[in-house]
Amino acid sequence: MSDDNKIALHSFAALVARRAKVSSVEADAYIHQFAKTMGEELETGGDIHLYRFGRFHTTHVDEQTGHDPNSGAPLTIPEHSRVHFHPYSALRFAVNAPFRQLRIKELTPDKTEWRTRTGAWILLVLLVLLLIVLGIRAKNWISTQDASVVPPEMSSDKAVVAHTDQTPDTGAPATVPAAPVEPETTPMAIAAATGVIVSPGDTLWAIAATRLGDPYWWPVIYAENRPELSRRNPDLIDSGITLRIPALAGSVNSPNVADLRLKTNGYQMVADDYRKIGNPRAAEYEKVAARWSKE
Amino acid sequence: MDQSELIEKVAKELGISNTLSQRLLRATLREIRDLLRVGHAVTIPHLGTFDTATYEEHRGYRPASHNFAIFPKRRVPVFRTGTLLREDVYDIESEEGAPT
Repeated sequence: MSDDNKIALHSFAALVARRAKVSSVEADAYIHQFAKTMGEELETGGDIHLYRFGRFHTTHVDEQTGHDPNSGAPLTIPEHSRVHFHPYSALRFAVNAPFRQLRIKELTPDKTEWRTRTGAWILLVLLVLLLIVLGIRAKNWISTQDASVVPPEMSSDKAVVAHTDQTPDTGAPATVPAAPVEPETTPMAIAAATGVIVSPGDTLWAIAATRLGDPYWWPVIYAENRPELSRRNPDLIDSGITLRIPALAGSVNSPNVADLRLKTNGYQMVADDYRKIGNPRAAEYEKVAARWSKE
Repeated sequence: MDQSELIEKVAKELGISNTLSQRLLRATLREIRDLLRVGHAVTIPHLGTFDTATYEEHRGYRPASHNFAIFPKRRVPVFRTGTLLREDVYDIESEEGAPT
């Protein structure tokens, strides 16, 4: 707005001439003719569109009353046209170059602004994928750990963990392959019985789960091997001894009458032994045994 | 009026080729742009003045967010119509004085 930044027409013409590689006289004539042509077009009320520069257009202004700014007297402004210039973005960006890095600051910050950013979404997706991969890894790791150590307790009332002792003197070092036939068990079950050597960390629950297919059948194994187990404690078995696994006539999923009798006997035996050592779980096992014997 | 029409019209008036007219128009517009970029004002006779205006940082309503915001300092190109063109376009006698 100040006068010191104005460019004289002849220097402007010289600049244009140098840019267009023509003589300065030609450029001067061209600028005059250019202005004259544009003025004529605007007089007729037309629009002028200049590519990547801006648009000139005119609007009609109705007659209106105003005041003379010097005398304050009322004044009637006649109807007329007004010339407007609308700069296009190329020109606006060029002019605004020194302040291009400034941004509009919201007075109340928008907390959903990150949603419009692509990078935030990419990061989010990567994070979710990472968590999924880590979850799969952790799941595999936990399942492999479980196979070797302790099964998860399926219900609180029946879950029994048999602890193995590391004392070799109480545990019989010699394996008992030819076990004496128990008179109360069925001969067929004994004939097909196979032995399993208890290693440190093994539990009756785990052995029943792997050998019989259902951990809840562990009292059957306990009842089968009870004469050899000197501790008379269903929670404790010694490492190194050989447990005989009774062969079932049916399977754990579809047991027949003899198998159910075995199971009932096992639960009853476990309940009796628990009662002897004062374990409160005895009542639960008694109840289960009573239920099956009724059936 | 389109840019090509302006080029043809000026070329016909001056008796030069359209190519030269286009080159000159392009040079003129670019020169105006570059002068505005460094903060100069360009006055073209019978047409008007191309100038820049600097707006200070101000508070204003932002329709996009339906809220008030602080607008940064910015510089915009402005065009002031020349007096001679104003008289022509406004279609009033020059002795009365053109309305602002």
